[in-house]
Amino acid sequence: MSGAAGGLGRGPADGPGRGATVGAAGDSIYDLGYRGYQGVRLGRAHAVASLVRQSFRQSWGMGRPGRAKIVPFGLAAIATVPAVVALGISALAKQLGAADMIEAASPIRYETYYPVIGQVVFLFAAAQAPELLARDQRHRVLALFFSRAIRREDYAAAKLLALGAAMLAFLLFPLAVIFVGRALLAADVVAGVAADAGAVPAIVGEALLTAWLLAAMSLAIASFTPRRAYATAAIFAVVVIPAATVGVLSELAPGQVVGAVSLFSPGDVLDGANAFVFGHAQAGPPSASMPSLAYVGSALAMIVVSTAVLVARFLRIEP
Amino acid sequence: MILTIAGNTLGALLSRRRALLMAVLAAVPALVALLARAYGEPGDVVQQTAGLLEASVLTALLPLVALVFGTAALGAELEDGSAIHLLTKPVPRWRVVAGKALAAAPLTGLLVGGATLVTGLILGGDRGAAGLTLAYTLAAAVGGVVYVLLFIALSVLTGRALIVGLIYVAVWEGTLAGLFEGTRVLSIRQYLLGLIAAIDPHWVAGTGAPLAPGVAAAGAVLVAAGSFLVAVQALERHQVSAGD
Repeated sequence: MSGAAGGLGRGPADGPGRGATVGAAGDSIYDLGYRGYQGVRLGRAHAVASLVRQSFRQSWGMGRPGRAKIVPFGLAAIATVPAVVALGISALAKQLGAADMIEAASPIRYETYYPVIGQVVFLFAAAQAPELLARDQRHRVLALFFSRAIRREDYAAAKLLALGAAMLAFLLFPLAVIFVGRALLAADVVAGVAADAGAVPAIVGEALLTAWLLAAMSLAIASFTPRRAYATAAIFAVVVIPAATVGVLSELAPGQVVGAVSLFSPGDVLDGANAFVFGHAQAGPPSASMPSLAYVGSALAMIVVSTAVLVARFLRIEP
Repeated sequence: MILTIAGNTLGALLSRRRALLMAVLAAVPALVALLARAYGEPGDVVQQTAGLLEASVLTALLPLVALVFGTAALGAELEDGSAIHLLTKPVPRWRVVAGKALAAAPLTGLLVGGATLVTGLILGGDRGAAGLTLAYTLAAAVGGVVYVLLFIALSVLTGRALIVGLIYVAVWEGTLAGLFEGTRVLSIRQYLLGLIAAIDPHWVAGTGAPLAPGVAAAGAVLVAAGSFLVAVQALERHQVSAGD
């Protein structure tokens, strides 16, 4: 290519000249001014951090038109409605002077909140996990990612971190609403905060477990198809079908069989883990009492398997 | 022309992994029935079968299968932009919608109806629940048509029809139905249960009174016809996008 002697001007000394250099034989080579990058290279860590930030925004539809925000924020609103309702009832009951009675009877407490909004959380994972992965595969952008500082396992980890963080925010926001609301309802705010502070580790612990499990599982499923619709259906089916199975079996065939089956149902596993972090020794479908610790073990196993599948998928994927 | 569209759509729907996955999904209720048969406790077999069919087929399998086939029939084409080949042909839009429905609805009915029949017969076919199984099979076929039409309309209206449909099934027909009984007037699942109860009130296991047969039938017909009209209307105004 560079046949002409002294033809190609490279390096800073030549400047950004776009002129033609005339060679010995009279023919010319055009210097298009391509130059190497001399600046600071931010490296792998920075690239991963950027991908995490970008993916987190993606999972809430930020940086995209309003239509993309309807589903994530709509679901978050649905998940927050029970918290607002519970606070409203508490405030009303306090005015009527029946606070203690309502407090004891209310079905919406820290302890019961995750089971109440479970369906909405599954829907969020099913809706948003494919948003993070499908487009990159469909439009062949993965090859561009992998040709840069990011390694394949980094890509998987970054997506997991981003969706996990998004789900953590999704899960903790309604409970934060309750927490702040209850503190403000109390006559003595400091005492109100102190009274509820004991529930915080359990709330955060369950949120972490739920976020990691659902994010890893739904991303692992979504990584196998470039079509968002199929991924969404598959993720929802993986949660709903086992849950329906356990529900039916616990009525038809009470006993240890249901207990064993429920260890493979993500929804039941998360309910059982929720019972554990809030200090109940027994959990599971009503007809089969299981040690709640078993569900925590099952949740951890699901996390490990899902994360492994997700990483393995991106190690082998044809970009 | 309707038949040509239906034939092509049927071929597209049955292709690749999707059909296989749907078949696996449809096999789950039968598996549960086998488990229940093996480990089950003695009891009212008719009630047990009704409970199983309602919870596993009408609540989970039917909407899910209808959702996948209904949104894939037309929505997938609209999303990736290849629908332009169909929409630029001189075919009235109502025929396009009819053709799509004619492929997706029977497929859903056949798959879910078959699953219902097998499941019900395994659990209670020889113990007096054969009639009930037949009623649920018919309801699944009717439900397939209604759900598929609704989800086709959704898939023309929004690019994210699947998640919107899932929210309808899980939140509206699921969670809210337990809290606000009035929502059952706008729930396809309740229409189907109302139709089954019209044959024999003991065949519905759930809590709360089922809808009156007239209301259920009228509701099902209205939702089906309304969805069809909305889908045609929306398709007439649809702007072909270049995909996402």
